[in-house]
Amino acid sequence: MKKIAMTLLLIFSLLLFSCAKTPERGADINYKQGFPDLSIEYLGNAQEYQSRSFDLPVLIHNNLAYDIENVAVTILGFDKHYVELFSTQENIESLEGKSIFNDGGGKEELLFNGQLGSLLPGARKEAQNYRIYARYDSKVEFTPSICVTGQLTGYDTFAGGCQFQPEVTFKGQGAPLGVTRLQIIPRQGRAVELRMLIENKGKGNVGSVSLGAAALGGKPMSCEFRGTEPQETSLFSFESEQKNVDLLCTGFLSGENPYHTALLVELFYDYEINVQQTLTILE
Amino acid sequence: MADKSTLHSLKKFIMADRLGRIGRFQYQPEAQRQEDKEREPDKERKGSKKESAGEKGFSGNFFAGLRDYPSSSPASNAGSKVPASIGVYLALMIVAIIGLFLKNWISYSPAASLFISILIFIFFFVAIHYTPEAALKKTLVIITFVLDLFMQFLLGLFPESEFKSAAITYYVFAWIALSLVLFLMGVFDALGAGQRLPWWAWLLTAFLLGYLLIYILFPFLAQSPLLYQDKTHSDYFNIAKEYLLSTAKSIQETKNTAIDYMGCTFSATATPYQTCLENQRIKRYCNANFKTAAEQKDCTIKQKEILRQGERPGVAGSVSDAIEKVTEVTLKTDEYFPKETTNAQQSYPITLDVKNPREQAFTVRIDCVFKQAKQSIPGKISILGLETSEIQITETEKQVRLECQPAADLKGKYTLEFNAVLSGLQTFSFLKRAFISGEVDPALRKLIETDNFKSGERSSLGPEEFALLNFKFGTGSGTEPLVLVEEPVIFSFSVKDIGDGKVLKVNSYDFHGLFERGFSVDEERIGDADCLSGGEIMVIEDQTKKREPSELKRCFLNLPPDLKELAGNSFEVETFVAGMNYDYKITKSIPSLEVTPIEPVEAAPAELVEAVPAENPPTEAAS
Repeated sequence: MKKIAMTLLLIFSLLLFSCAKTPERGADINYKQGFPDLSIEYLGNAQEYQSRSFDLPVLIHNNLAYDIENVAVTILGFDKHYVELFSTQENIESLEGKSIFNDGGGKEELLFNGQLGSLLPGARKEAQNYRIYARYDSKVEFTPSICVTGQLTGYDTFAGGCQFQPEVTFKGQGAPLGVTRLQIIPRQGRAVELRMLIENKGKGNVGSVSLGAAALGGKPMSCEFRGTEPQETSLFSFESEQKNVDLLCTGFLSGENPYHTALLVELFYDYEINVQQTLTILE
Repeated sequence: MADKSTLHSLKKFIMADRLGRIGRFQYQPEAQRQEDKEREPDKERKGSKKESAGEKGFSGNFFAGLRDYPSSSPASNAGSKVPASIGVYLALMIVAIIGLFLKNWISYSPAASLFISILIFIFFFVAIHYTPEAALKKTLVIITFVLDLFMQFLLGLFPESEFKSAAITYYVFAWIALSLVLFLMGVFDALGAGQRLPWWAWLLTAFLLGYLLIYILFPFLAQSPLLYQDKTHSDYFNIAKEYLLSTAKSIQETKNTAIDYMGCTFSATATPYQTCLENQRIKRYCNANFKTAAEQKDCTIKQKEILRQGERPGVAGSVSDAIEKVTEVTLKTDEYFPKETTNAQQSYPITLDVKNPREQAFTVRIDCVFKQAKQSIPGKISILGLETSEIQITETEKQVRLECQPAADLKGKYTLEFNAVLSGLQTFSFLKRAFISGEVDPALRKLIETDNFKSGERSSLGPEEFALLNFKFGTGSGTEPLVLVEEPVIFSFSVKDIGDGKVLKVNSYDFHGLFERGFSVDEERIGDADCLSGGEIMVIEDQTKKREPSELKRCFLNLPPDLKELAGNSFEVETFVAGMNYDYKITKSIPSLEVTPIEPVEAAPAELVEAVPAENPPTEAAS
């Protein structure tokens, strides 16, 4: 009886586990969603002995859906009395993003070297806080298929190829910076204004963002970042701690009735992220 | 006709009525009472508060029926009921706390504060009126109220001073303190009356007493004469007496009295208040220590000069927990120490215990003196029989037993004082600073500050031994941890006495961490040219025994080129180390040494000595 019960339990467990969803792979995965960040990992020892040379290995992992370029990894914040780094910055030309050809994203290990100083007389240990900064250039593409209409009023009723929605929200395009809200405002003469809220949802800071391309249904749009100077409307510099900016675009429609069309907005930006680490120096 | 038991009950009722306890002793025949008791067993358990509250309706007063009296009758041996007054005291505590919050909320505006105080007073007074033994408590309430009013009217007149701070403290917490005192009095009343306390009253009492013991009594005991547990009990009185006398003397000589505060309050228009207080203190000190008018005048001039020096701005610093290897030097007596002796030339042993984990090299020079009220007899120090008073220390640990022998015969009671001058002690301190440009991003600036400077790391730190070398430098007054490289950098240092002895002098100091890094004295600005390194500096207690000791040197610094060139978001974090060589004096006082020399017996006449054996035959002695 006991054996039967055990066997049944085993079978039941097998069935239960086999029901679990297998992870999506390759072409099934839409990498261009969410707000992933670059990951910075310290691979060395958390403790080192005083008055010795030491290595500080750092792993940079690109979790974004886009390649990143001109990656500069810098270590800052060490107290010079205790830690002298021979070089505080290492560069990576580019690091591949996640794609069907590389679903893990590019990784690169960097090695910093330095010399530890002596502890103060009578001290047994010293905890040193420092930060690993990574700065890079990358881009993000916003390519949804949206329902547009040339009707100025009464557009909330279904008429034509799609249900027009004046405001749509989005959950990221596979980069820390992304469009989170799109407002579609029909204008006179088959024109449409698109207001996009571009938000930095990552843990780092965006330096500046510039518009690469903007098209609605294959036709270029004229765009400007809100709050920029008239002569340089396609480049926006984020203030410290600033997390979002509005991009206003005007496009032209091919008909009055609602229809689906492709929107393309390509943004280039530079980004900096840092992580804090602690190195304990022992006697 | 009432029977005997009915009459007895009636008498009880009358007595109870007189005592204001009518609620508990309403007239009922015994049988009826018993029946009621059986019917309402819960009523007995719920305590007198509920009972009184339920039955007191006749008086029309909330607090009526709260008096708790001990009862000898079996009926009230229920005696062990929960006393209602405890609840009242708790309510008063809540009233006092609400009063405190209200006053705080109205920002202690005078009229509203007065109104709140009057309300609290009425509440307290009426409540206390209905508690047992109310007379004393009412007096306390009235005193508190009067003092509260007194403070309300006079606080505004007082200049800033310690006295004013004490008065403000009283004014703020008076009612809470009173409610706690009343609560404890209520607890003792109730226990004395054999009543039972509710669990929360026990908890509160335990909390209050525990708090008193842990935070007030124990720290007091730890610093009091009772700490001398190696002394016999007969010595305690003398120790306590000396302690009190020295405290009184210290107060008399060095502290300001209430008369000073009052006098200086009224003369504040003529002389600044603090200066007036200091002048009064100096006058008292000099009068107490010098006899002639000329000496007193000299003393006054000298003290004022010291005061002037001590008034220089302070440089803070603190002890670092990270420095675990700390130098310790102590003088210890053991249980064989001869506190009482008949030998007028007795040698008194003491052990010099040195812990020197950082392996410093320094010298200890010891002397001793036997002190009485009017005279002092010096002593001679010997180590292992050799007359020497100097010991070289280089080892990590050393114990030296030495002896002090009086230079003249002793007789009577003395205090033996051992002084050890530690010459050539070395200490160090360190200070962390971050160098930034004025253009730095505000967020980064904040990040640098939070990553590198916890609250205790903004000032210099050093090992917890005898003296601390405090220093500061940077933008503004030099206390900010972030140094703007474009701004002038000010530097100053001080010495803080953190031991039980006295810093005698600084032999040398050097801020090698700074000058080795490329910092230099900015000679174009006013300052001490030798502020980064130098030799002897004599120091006085007024400079070193302060929370923020007075600066000894001050100058402006030139930054090294690499720091000067920082721009944008570049920054540097660096710790700077400094060293100091100094002399320190520690003292060990041993009170109540008693020397009772044996009086020499006069020699007996020879014939009498010879005659003794004849009177005492040998046979008797042998037997």
